[in-house]
Amino acid sequence: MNSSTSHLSERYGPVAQSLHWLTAAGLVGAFAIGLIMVEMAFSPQQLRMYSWHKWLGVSLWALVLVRLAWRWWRSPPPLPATTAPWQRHAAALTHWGLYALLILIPVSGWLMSSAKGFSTVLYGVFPLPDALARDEALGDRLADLHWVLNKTLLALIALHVAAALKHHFIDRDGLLWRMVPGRRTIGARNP
Amino acid sequence: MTGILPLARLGAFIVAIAAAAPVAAQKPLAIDHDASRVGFEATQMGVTVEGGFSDWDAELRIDEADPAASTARVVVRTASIDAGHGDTNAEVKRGNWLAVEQFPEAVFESTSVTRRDDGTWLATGALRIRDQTETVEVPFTVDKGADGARRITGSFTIKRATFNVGGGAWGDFDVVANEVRVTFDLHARV
Repeated sequence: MNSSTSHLSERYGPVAQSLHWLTAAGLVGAFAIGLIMVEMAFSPQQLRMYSWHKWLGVSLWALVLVRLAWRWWRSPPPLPATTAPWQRHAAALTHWGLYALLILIPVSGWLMSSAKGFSTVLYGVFPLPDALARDEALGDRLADLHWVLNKTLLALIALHVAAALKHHFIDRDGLLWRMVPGRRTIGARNP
Repeated sequence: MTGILPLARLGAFIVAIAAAAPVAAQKPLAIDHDASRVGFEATQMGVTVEGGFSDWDAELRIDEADPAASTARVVVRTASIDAGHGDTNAEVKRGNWLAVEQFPEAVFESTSVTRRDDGTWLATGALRIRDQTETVEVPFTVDKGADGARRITGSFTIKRATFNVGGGAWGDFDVVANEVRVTFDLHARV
Protein backbone atom coordinates (compact mmCIF):
# COMPACT_ATOMS: atom_id res chain seq x y z
CA MET A 1 0.00 0.00 0.00
CA ASN A 2 1.34 3.32 -1.03
CA SER A 3 1.51 5.44 2.11
CA SER A 4 1.53 8.78 0.28
CA THR A 5 -1.79 7.94 -1.39
CA SER A 6 -3.39 7.08 1.92
CA HIS A 7 -2.10 10.34 3.37
CA LEU A 8 -3.41 12.26 0.38
CA SER A 9 -6.86 10.83 1.00
CA GLU A 10 -6.78 12.31 4.50
CA ARG A 11 -6.51 15.81 3.13
CA TYR A 12 -9.27 18.13 2.05
CA GLY A 13 -9.54 18.30 -1.72
CA PRO A 14 -8.57 21.41 -3.69
CA VAL A 15 -12.19 22.52 -4.02
CA ALA A 16 -12.88 22.31 -0.28
CA GLN A 17 -9.56 24.06 0.40
CA SER A 18 -10.32 26.86 -2.05
CA LEU A 19 -13.80 27.38 -0.60
CA HIS A 20 -12.38 27.43 2.94
CA TRP A 21 -9.73 30.06 2.23
CA LEU A 22 -12.08 32.09 0.06
CA THR A 23 -14.45 32.19 3.04
CA ALA A 24 -11.58 33.21 5.33
CA ALA A 25 -10.52 36.03 3.00
CA GLY A 26 -14.13 37.16 2.57
CA LEU A 27 -14.64 37.22 6.33
CA VAL A 28 -11.53 39.31 6.89
CA GLY A 29 -12.84 41.79 4.31
CA ALA A 30 -16.41 41.80 5.63
CA PHE A 31 -15.27 42.30 9.23
CA ALA A 32 -12.79 45.03 8.28
CA ILE A 33 -15.27 46.93 6.12
CA GLY A 34 -18.09 46.45 8.63
CA LEU A 35 -16.08 47.70 11.58
CA ILE A 36 -14.71 50.69 9.67
CA MET A 37 -17.93 51.76 7.94
CA VAL A 38 -19.95 52.14 11.14
CA GLU A 39 -17.36 54.59 12.48
CA MET A 40 -17.24 56.68 9.29
CA ALA A 41 -18.90 60.03 8.79
CA PHE A 42 -21.83 60.02 6.37
CA SER A 43 -20.20 60.32 2.97
CA PRO A 44 -20.15 58.71 -0.46
CA GLN A 45 -17.28 56.53 0.73
CA GLN A 46 -19.33 55.32 3.68
CA LEU A 47 -22.22 54.39 1.38
CA ARG A 48 -19.80 52.57 -0.90
CA MET A 49 -18.47 50.62 2.10
CA TYR A 50 -22.01 49.72 3.18
CA SER A 51 -22.77 48.35 -0.27
CA TRP A 52 -19.50 46.42 -0.44
CA HIS A 53 -20.15 44.97 2.99
CA LYS A 54 -23.62 43.84 1.97
CA TRP A 55 -22.41 42.38 -1.32
CA LEU A 56 -19.64 40.53 0.50
CA GLY A 57 -22.12 39.24 3.09
CA VAL A 58 -24.51 37.90 0.45
CA SER A 59 -21.57 36.33 -1.41
CA LEU A 60 -20.35 34.62 1.77
CA TRP A 61 -23.85 33.34 2.40
CA ALA A 62 -23.96 31.81 -1.08
CA LEU A 63 -20.45 30.45 -0.58
CA VAL A 64 -21.37 28.62 2.61
CA LEU A 65 -24.28 26.94 0.84
CA VAL A 66 -21.89 25.80 -1.87
CA ARG A 67 -19.55 24.51 0.84
CA LEU A 68 -22.32 22.57 2.55
CA ALA A 69 -23.38 21.08 -0.77
CA TRP A 70 -19.78 20.14 -1.52
CA ARG A 71 -19.37 18.70 1.94
CA TRP A 72 -22.48 16.59 1.46
CA TRP A 73 -21.22 15.36 -1.91
CA ARG A 74 -17.58 14.87 -0.88
CA SER A 75 -17.28 13.90 2.76
CA PRO A 76 -14.46 15.65 4.57
CA PRO A 77 -11.44 13.48 5.42
CA PRO A 78 -11.88 11.67 8.74
CA LEU A 79 -10.04 12.94 11.78
CA PRO A 80 -6.95 10.93 12.77
CA ALA A 81 -7.92 7.78 14.69
CA THR A 82 -5.96 9.09 17.66
CA THR A 83 -8.26 12.10 18.10
CA ALA A 84 -9.82 12.11 21.57
CA PRO A 85 -13.64 11.90 21.65
CA TRP A 86 -13.99 15.29 23.38
CA GLN A 87 -11.89 16.83 20.62
CA ARG A 88 -14.09 15.21 17.97
CA HIS A 89 -17.16 16.67 19.65
CA ALA A 90 -15.54 20.07 20.09
CA ALA A 91 -14.46 20.13 16.46
CA ALA A 92 -17.91 19.11 15.22
CA LEU A 93 -19.65 21.69 17.41
CA THR A 94 -17.30 24.43 16.30
CA HIS A 95 -17.63 23.57 12.62
CA TRP A 96 -21.41 23.34 12.64
CA GLY A 97 -21.55 26.51 14.73
CA LEU A 98 -19.43 28.27 12.13
CA TYR A 99 -21.65 27.04 9.29
CA ALA A 100 -24.80 28.10 11.15
CA LEU A 101 -23.44 31.58 11.84
CA LEU A 102 -22.20 31.99 8.28
CA ILE A 103 -25.79 31.39 7.17
CA LEU A 104 -27.53 33.39 9.90
CA ILE A 105 -25.33 36.49 9.91
CA PRO A 106 -25.90 37.57 6.31
CA VAL A 107 -29.62 36.87 6.77
CA SER A 108 -29.70 39.08 9.87
CA GLY A 109 -27.89 41.83 7.96
CA TRP A 110 -30.27 41.57 5.03
CA LEU A 111 -33.30 41.70 7.35
CA MET A 112 -31.81 44.66 9.25
CA SER A 113 -31.19 46.55 6.04
CA SER A 114 -34.67 45.74 4.85
CA ALA A 115 -36.27 46.93 8.11
CA LYS A 116 -34.25 50.11 7.97
CA GLY A 117 -35.72 50.80 4.54
CA PHE A 118 -32.79 49.85 2.33
CA SER A 119 -33.11 47.05 -0.15
CA THR A 120 -30.12 44.95 -0.98
CA VAL A 121 -29.10 44.96 -4.63
CA LEU A 122 -26.26 42.49 -5.05
CA TYR A 123 -23.31 44.09 -6.87
CA GLY A 124 -25.68 46.96 -7.67
CA VAL A 125 -27.36 44.72 -10.24
CA PHE A 126 -29.39 41.90 -8.70
CA PRO A 127 -32.16 43.08 -6.37
CA LEU A 128 -32.95 40.86 -3.41
CA PRO A 129 -36.52 40.85 -2.20
CA ASP A 130 -37.43 42.96 0.80
CA ALA A 131 -38.54 40.60 3.53
CA LEU A 132 -39.68 43.21 5.99
CA ALA A 133 -41.69 46.38 5.89
CA ARG A 134 -39.91 49.45 7.10
CA ASP A 135 -39.70 49.43 10.90
CA GLU A 136 -36.94 51.50 12.48
CA ALA A 137 -37.23 49.87 15.93
CA LEU A 138 -37.12 46.37 14.47
CA GLY A 139 -34.15 47.46 12.35
CA ASP A 140 -32.28 48.52 15.48
CA ARG A 141 -33.02 45.19 17.17
CA LEU A 142 -31.80 43.32 14.10
CA ALA A 143 -28.66 45.46 14.12
CA ASP A 144 -28.05 44.33 17.71
CA LEU A 145 -28.66 40.73 16.66
CA HIS A 146 -26.26 41.11 13.72
CA TRP A 147 -23.57 42.37 16.10
CA VAL A 148 -24.14 39.66 18.73
CA LEU A 149 -24.02 36.93 16.07
CA ASN A 150 -20.82 38.44 14.70
CA LYS A 151 -19.19 38.53 18.13
CA THR A 152 -20.13 34.86 18.51
CA LEU A 153 -18.64 34.16 15.09
CA LEU A 154 -15.43 35.95 16.06
CA ALA A 155 -15.24 33.83 19.22
CA LEU A 156 -15.76 30.60 17.25
CA ILE A 157 -13.18 31.66 14.64
CA ALA A 158 -10.73 32.37 17.46
CA LEU A 159 -11.38 28.89 18.84
CA HIS A 160 -11.07 27.34 15.36
CA VAL A 161 -7.76 29.11 14.68
CA ALA A 162 -6.43 28.40 18.18
CA ALA A 163 -7.22 24.70 17.77
CA ALA A 164 -5.51 24.58 14.38
CA LEU A 165 -2.43 26.33 15.74
CA LYS A 166 -2.39 24.07 18.79
CA HIS A 167 -2.41 21.00 16.55
CA HIS A 168 0.32 22.52 14.42
CA PHE A 169 2.71 23.94 16.99
CA ILE A 170 2.03 21.97 20.16
CA ASP A 171 0.76 18.55 19.04
CA ARG A 172 2.78 18.79 15.80
CA ASP A 173 0.37 16.31 14.24
CA GLY A 174 0.23 18.00 10.84
CA LEU A 175 -3.53 18.38 10.97
CA LEU A 176 -3.30 21.94 9.63
CA TRP A 177 -1.75 20.71 6.37
CA ARG A 178 -5.03 18.99 5.50
CA MET A 179 -6.39 22.42 4.61
CA VAL A 180 -3.28 23.88 2.98
CA PRO A 181 -3.09 23.62 -0.80
CA GLY A 182 -0.04 22.14 -2.43
CA ARG A 183 1.30 20.07 0.47
CA ARG A 184 1.57 16.44 -0.40
CA THR A 185 2.89 15.21 2.90
CA ILE A 186 1.16 15.34 6.21
CA GLY A 187 3.33 16.89 8.82
CA ALA A 188 5.45 15.15 11.39
CA ARG A 189 4.19 11.67 10.64
CA ASN A 190 5.52 11.91 7.12
CA PRO A 191 8.11 14.65 7.04
CA MET B 1 -95.97 86.72 -0.99
CA THR B 2 -94.98 83.50 0.68
CA GLY B 3 -95.61 81.71 -2.61
CA ILE B 4 -93.42 84.00 -4.65
CA LEU B 5 -90.40 84.19 -2.42
CA PRO B 6 -89.17 80.57 -2.83
CA LEU B 7 -89.57 80.92 -6.58
CA ALA B 8 -87.54 84.08 -6.59
CA ARG B 9 -84.86 82.34 -4.54
CA LEU B 10 -84.83 79.44 -6.95
CA GLY B 11 -84.50 81.86 -9.84
CA ALA B 12 -81.59 83.61 -8.18
CA PHE B 13 -79.97 80.25 -7.51
CA ILE B 14 -80.26 79.20 -11.15
CA VAL B 15 -78.77 82.50 -12.29
CA ALA B 16 -75.92 82.07 -9.84
CA ILE B 17 -75.17 78.56 -11.08
CA ALA B 18 -75.30 79.62 -14.71
CA ALA B 19 -72.91 82.45 -14.01
CA ALA B 20 -70.58 80.24 -11.99
CA ALA B 21 -70.45 77.31 -14.42
CA PRO B 22 -67.84 78.61 -16.89
CA VAL B 23 -65.67 79.79 -14.03
CA ALA B 24 -65.94 76.55 -12.10
CA ALA B 25 -63.32 74.82 -14.25
CA GLN B 26 -60.91 77.61 -13.47
CA LYS B 27 -61.12 77.13 -9.75
CA PRO B 28 -58.13 75.22 -8.40
CA LEU B 29 -58.83 71.72 -7.21
CA ALA B 30 -59.24 71.23 -3.49
CA ILE B 31 -56.32 68.95 -2.77
CA ASP B 32 -56.65 66.49 0.08
CA HIS B 33 -53.16 67.00 1.43
CA ASP B 34 -53.20 64.03 3.82
CA ALA B 35 -54.22 61.58 1.11
CA SER B 36 -51.74 62.98 -1.39
CA ARG B 37 -48.05 62.54 -1.82
CA VAL B 38 -45.19 64.36 -3.50
CA GLY B 39 -42.10 62.23 -3.51
CA PHE B 40 -39.05 61.04 -5.34
CA GLU B 41 -37.00 57.94 -6.05
CA ALA B 42 -33.23 58.18 -6.03
CA THR B 43 -30.84 55.34 -6.78
CA GLN B 44 -27.93 54.60 -4.49
CA MET B 45 -25.53 51.97 -5.82
CA GLY B 46 -28.38 50.23 -7.57
CA VAL B 47 -30.75 50.52 -4.60
CA THR B 48 -33.91 52.54 -5.08
CA VAL B 49 -34.38 54.92 -2.16
CA GLU B 50 -37.80 56.50 -1.81
CA GLY B 51 -38.41 59.84 -0.21
CA GLY B 52 -40.97 62.59 -0.04
CA PHE B 53 -41.90 66.06 1.01
CA SER B 54 -44.48 66.87 3.65
CA ASP B 55 -44.83 70.60 3.00
CA TRP B 56 -46.05 71.58 -0.45
CA ASP B 57 -48.92 73.28 -2.21
CA ALA B 58 -50.43 72.28 -5.51
CA GLU B 59 -52.64 74.68 -7.42
CA LEU B 60 -54.18 72.62 -10.16
CA ARG B 61 -56.83 73.62 -12.63
CA ILE B 62 -57.96 70.68 -14.70
CA ASP B 63 -60.30 71.44 -17.54
CA GLU B 64 -61.47 68.28 -19.30
CA ALA B 65 -63.49 70.30 -21.81
CA ASP B 66 -60.63 72.54 -22.74
CA PRO B 67 -57.38 70.86 -21.65
CA ALA B 68 -55.25 73.75 -22.86
CA ALA B 69 -56.95 75.92 -20.25
CA SER B 70 -55.57 73.67 -17.51
CA THR B 71 -52.72 74.91 -15.37
CA ALA B 72 -50.51 73.57 -12.62
CA ARG B 73 -48.30 75.28 -10.11
CA VAL B 74 -46.65 73.23 -7.40
CA VAL B 75 -44.48 74.68 -4.67
CA VAL B 76 -42.42 72.33 -2.53
CA ARG B 77 -40.78 73.51 0.70
CA THR B 78 -37.41 71.82 0.44
CA ALA B 79 -36.78 71.69 4.19
CA SER B 80 -39.68 69.24 4.53
CA ILE B 81 -37.77 66.52 2.71
CA ASP B 82 -37.76 63.03 4.15
CA ALA B 83 -35.26 60.79 2.40
CA GLY B 84 -36.04 57.95 4.79
CA HIS B 85 -32.92 58.05 6.93
CA GLY B 86 -31.62 60.46 9.56
CA ASP B 87 -28.11 60.95 8.18
CA THR B 88 -29.44 61.30 4.65
CA ASN B 89 -32.02 63.88 5.72
CA ALA B 90 -29.36 66.01 7.37
CA GLU B 91 -27.08 65.72 4.36
CA VAL B 92 -29.59 66.51 1.60
CA LYS B 93 -30.57 69.77 3.32
CA ARG B 94 -27.00 71.00 3.25
CA GLY B 95 -25.32 73.21 0.67
CA ASN B 96 -24.13 70.39 -1.58
CA TRP B 97 -27.68 69.21 -2.10
CA LEU B 98 -30.89 71.25 -1.75
CA ALA B 99 -29.37 74.04 0.40
CA VAL B 100 -32.76 74.46 2.03
CA GLU B 101 -31.94 77.66 3.87
CA GLN B 102 -30.71 79.42 0.77
CA PHE B 103 -33.34 77.88 -1.53
CA PRO B 104 -36.39 77.12 0.60
CA GLU B 105 -38.70 76.42 -2.35
CA ALA B 106 -38.68 74.34 -5.48
CA VAL B 107 -41.37 75.31 -7.96
CA PHE B 108 -43.01 73.79 -10.99
CA GLU B 109 -45.17 76.05 -13.11
CA SER B 110 -46.83 74.80 -16.26
CA THR B 111 -46.64 76.73 -19.50
CA SER B 112 -48.84 74.38 -21.50
CA VAL B 113 -51.09 71.44 -20.80
CA THR B 114 -52.33 69.03 -23.42
CA ARG B 115 -54.38 65.90 -23.41
CA ARG B 116 -52.98 63.11 -25.49
CA ASP B 117 -54.86 60.65 -27.69
CA ASP B 118 -54.63 57.89 -25.10
CA GLY B 119 -56.38 60.11 -22.59
CA THR B 120 -53.30 60.86 -20.52
CA TRP B 121 -52.15 64.38 -19.93
CA LEU B 122 -48.91 66.21 -20.45
CA ALA B 123 -47.88 69.36 -18.66
CA THR B 124 -44.87 71.22 -19.93
CA GLY B 125 -43.39 73.84 -17.72
CA ALA B 126 -40.52 75.31 -15.81
CA LEU B 127 -39.04 73.45 -12.86
CA ARG B 128 -36.88 75.47 -10.52
CA ILE B 129 -34.70 73.69 -7.98
CA ARG B 130 -32.08 75.73 -6.14
CA ASP B 131 -31.35 78.57 -8.60
CA GLN B 132 -31.57 76.43 -11.72
CA THR B 133 -34.61 76.40 -13.95
CA GLU B 134 -35.22 73.79 -16.61
CA THR B 135 -38.13 72.99 -18.86
CA VAL B 136 -39.60 69.61 -18.00
CA GLU B 137 -42.39 67.48 -19.40
CA VAL B 138 -44.68 65.97 -16.82
CA PRO B 139 -47.02 63.19 -17.99
CA PHE B 140 -49.92 62.48 -15.70
CA THR B 141 -53.26 60.77 -15.54
CA VAL B 142 -56.51 62.04 -14.13
CA ASP B 143 -58.83 59.44 -12.67
CA LYS B 144 -62.28 60.55 -11.82
CA GLY B 145 -64.03 58.75 -9.02
CA ALA B 146 -67.74 57.96 -9.07
CA ASP B 147 -68.30 60.79 -6.62
CA GLY B 148 -66.48 63.26 -8.85
CA ALA B 149 -63.29 63.28 -6.80
CA ARG B 150 -60.14 63.27 -8.87
CA ARG B 151 -56.85 61.53 -8.49
CA ILE B 152 -53.88 62.96 -10.38
CA THR B 153 -50.81 60.74 -10.61
CA GLY B 154 -47.62 60.90 -12.57
CA SER B 155 -43.87 60.94 -12.53
CA PHE B 156 -40.97 62.32 -14.47
CA THR B 157 -37.23 61.94 -14.32
CA ILE B 158 -34.76 64.74 -13.82
CA LYS B 159 -31.01 64.75 -13.69
CA ARG B 160 -29.87 66.13 -10.36
CA ALA B 161 -26.67 67.60 -11.85
CA THR B 162 -28.82 69.88 -14.03
CA PHE B 163 -29.95 71.57 -10.83
CA ASN B 164 -26.57 71.43 -9.06
CA VAL B 165 -28.07 69.02 -6.55
CA GLY B 166 -25.46 66.77 -4.94
CA GLY B 167 -22.16 68.37 -5.82
CA GLY B 168 -18.78 68.18 -4.12
CA ALA B 169 -17.92 64.70 -2.89
CA TRP B 170 -21.28 63.48 -4.22
CA GLY B 171 -20.58 64.73 -7.74
CA ASP B 172 -19.77 61.27 -9.10
CA PHE B 173 -22.84 59.26 -9.97
CA ASP B 174 -21.47 55.87 -8.88
CA VAL B 175 -22.93 56.22 -5.40
CA VAL B 176 -26.00 58.37 -5.99
CA ALA B 177 -27.21 58.21 -9.58
CA ASN B 178 -27.78 61.37 -11.58
CA GLU B 179 -31.34 60.38 -12.45
CA VAL B 180 -33.99 61.11 -9.86
CA ARG B 181 -37.61 60.23 -10.44
CA VAL B 182 -40.12 62.75 -9.15
CA THR B 183 -43.48 61.20 -8.28
CA PHE B 184 -46.82 62.62 -7.30
CA ASP B 185 -50.16 61.22 -6.31
CA LEU B 186 -52.65 63.98 -5.65
CA HIS B 187 -56.19 63.47 -4.43
CA ALA B 188 -58.69 66.25 -5.03
CA ARG B 189 -61.97 66.43 -3.21
CA VAL B 190 -65.17 67.15 -5.07
